[in-house]
Amino acid sequence: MRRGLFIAALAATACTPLTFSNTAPIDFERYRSVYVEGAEGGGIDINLAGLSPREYLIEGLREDSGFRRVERGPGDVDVHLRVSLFIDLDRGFDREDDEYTVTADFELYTPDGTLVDRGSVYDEDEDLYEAVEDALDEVVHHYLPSYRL
Amino acid sequence: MRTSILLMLAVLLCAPLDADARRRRPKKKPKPRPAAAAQSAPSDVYDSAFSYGLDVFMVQGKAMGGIRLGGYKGSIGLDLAADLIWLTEDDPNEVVDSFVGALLGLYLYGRVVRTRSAELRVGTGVDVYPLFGINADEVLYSWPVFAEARYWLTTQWGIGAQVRFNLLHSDALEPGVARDGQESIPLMLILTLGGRS
Repeated sequence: MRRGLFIAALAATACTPLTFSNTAPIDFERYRSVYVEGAEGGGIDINLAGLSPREYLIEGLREDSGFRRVERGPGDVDVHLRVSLFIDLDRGFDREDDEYTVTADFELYTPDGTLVDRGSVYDEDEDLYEAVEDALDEVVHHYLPSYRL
Repeated sequence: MRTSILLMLAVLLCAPLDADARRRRPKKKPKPRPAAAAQSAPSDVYDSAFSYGLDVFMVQGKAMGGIRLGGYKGSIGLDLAADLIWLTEDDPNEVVDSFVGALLGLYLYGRVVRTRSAELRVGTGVDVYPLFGINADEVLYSWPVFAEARYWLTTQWGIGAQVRFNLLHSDALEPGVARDGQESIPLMLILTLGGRS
């Protein structure tokens, strides 16, 4: 009886589906191409492995976002992504205790100025570059495509 | 007839004498019974051990598997698991080629039944799914409970089957739901080849 129940439970669970899903914040079929503007370091020269914050964001969006085309120039694109970085330093007793908070505010709008999406992400780190990178990674993460895997 | 009466008298006279003899006789110590000895001894071979194993998840449309390391002492054990996840079906949206990410787990379990050849574990823990095949920041979580039966083929090596249910999970993690939305029993089956030393 017990063996039968155990085998029945095994059979019921054999090859159960498990799905990972995401719903994109915008319709990427409608907004396929984007021009990235801003994402400057507020006057601070930030070098992220040889890339400026804007270039780093463009690379990230090209790699992982739902946009088919990510442009450096405002040519023929469906939307503009304007990113503003704000850097805040919380000084500790020692320099090692300093902590940076980097906030990335972003707006996605059409060339005629219609707002499509907006948001704000932030990251805290003792290292300024790490904080900037992680905040920009969060912007890319926000624009992941819809998926069901 | 006379003989019979004499015999009865002899028995009646001898009986008290025999009872006295029994009282005086030293008592024999009871021999320990083998069955009772086996019951009081530890029932499994290793009361504490390091454990290790290979897991294969029986999941539709994915290849999931990896290693598990841990140990137990008495009836309590702790396991760490690291598994990798690939798609075995094409992704129509081409978000990933094949590699999806990983499953990292930390589990606490009790060995509720343990004999020389088999044991039953029940436990809970935390599952973290870093889906870095999609994006480095894409991480899902779940809180699983499980029951696992193990059969020891030798004193060191055994096979097992675990049934896992997620009490809580990220919205984006859908156990028991197929890509097309069709729902089934949200129990995951995991087969294990495990060792201990």
